[in-house]
Amino acid sequence: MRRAAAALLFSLALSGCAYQVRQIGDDRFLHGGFAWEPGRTTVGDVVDALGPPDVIRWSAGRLLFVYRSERRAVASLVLTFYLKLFSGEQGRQEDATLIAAFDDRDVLLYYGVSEHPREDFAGDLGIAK
Amino acid sequence: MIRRALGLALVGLAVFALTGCGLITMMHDSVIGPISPVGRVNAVTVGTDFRVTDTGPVAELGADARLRPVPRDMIRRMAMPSSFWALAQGLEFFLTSTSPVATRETRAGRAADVPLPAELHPGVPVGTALALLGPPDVWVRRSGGSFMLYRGISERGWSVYVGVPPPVGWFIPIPGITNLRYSYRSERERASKVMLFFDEQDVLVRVSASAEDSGKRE
Repeated sequence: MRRAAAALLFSLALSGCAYQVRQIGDDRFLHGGFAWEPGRTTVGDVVDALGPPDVIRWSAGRLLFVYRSERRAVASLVLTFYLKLFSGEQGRQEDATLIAAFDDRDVLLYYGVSEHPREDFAGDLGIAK
Repeated sequence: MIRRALGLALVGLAVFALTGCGLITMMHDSVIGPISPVGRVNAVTVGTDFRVTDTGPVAELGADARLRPVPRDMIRRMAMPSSFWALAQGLEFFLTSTSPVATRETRAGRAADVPLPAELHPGVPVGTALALLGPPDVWVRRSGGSFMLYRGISERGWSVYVGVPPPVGWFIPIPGITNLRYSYRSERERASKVMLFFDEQDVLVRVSASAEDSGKRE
């Protein structure tokens, strides 16, 4: 009897809930403490650390490597009684990018990386490491 | 004769009433469209760029007239191979929506778990690399050599339903039965990337491959 009541309460507590997590790409570059030095680090060093890039852009004298990742988590509640009586959705999305620029000799000129997301992003949406 | 004509006219009116801009559709969309479980029917039935996504059929109404009885691209939607693909996706959507546990996988380009050819080792000419892997996505020529980038995308997802999935609830005559459900869906898109480095003589000097790890946060 208690089990049935617990199961019923559990079902009612979760009624109409939906949770969705979507992750695109590899966000290693957000966690890596790589020690790259402009003027010394080469294309090979960057590829060794992070693998091949997602996007490559090049022009005269410049070569750009772009690494991207995306995380999205959405929690929703929909209650229906023939029609949708209530519909609520809460979600967050994180887009992260790393760009590394090289010169003609494939030596690193500069790089930039997105900030690490706030800890509560992982915490309150259940996508912690 | 007059009866037959009236009958045909009534049938024509009934067919028109059931089209994308018919009375029933427009009444549904205007009155309960925002809160209807099936959404707005008019945009899906007469809009363009019809496709089936993970959340069901979608189409873009855009600048199209709402009173158009049939979609502008009806021939394409019904007769082109893409329509059969959309039909298969629709069946998949229905089956995955009603299954307690479902997995799906989509792949484009080179798969992540396919090993590189053994013949692809430093020292081979660029022609051999092209013959083994095909044309690259990106081929950059530099003063000191060149490199190629190959990319493949694979998308994996799984979902679990606890309770009554919405499509099943439509067939159960208990009001509000579809509220008794919980769903969780996780999707992960991975990129399999291979980078080949060549020297000035177009001879392979290095191969770098990465398959992003998956599922570590799911």
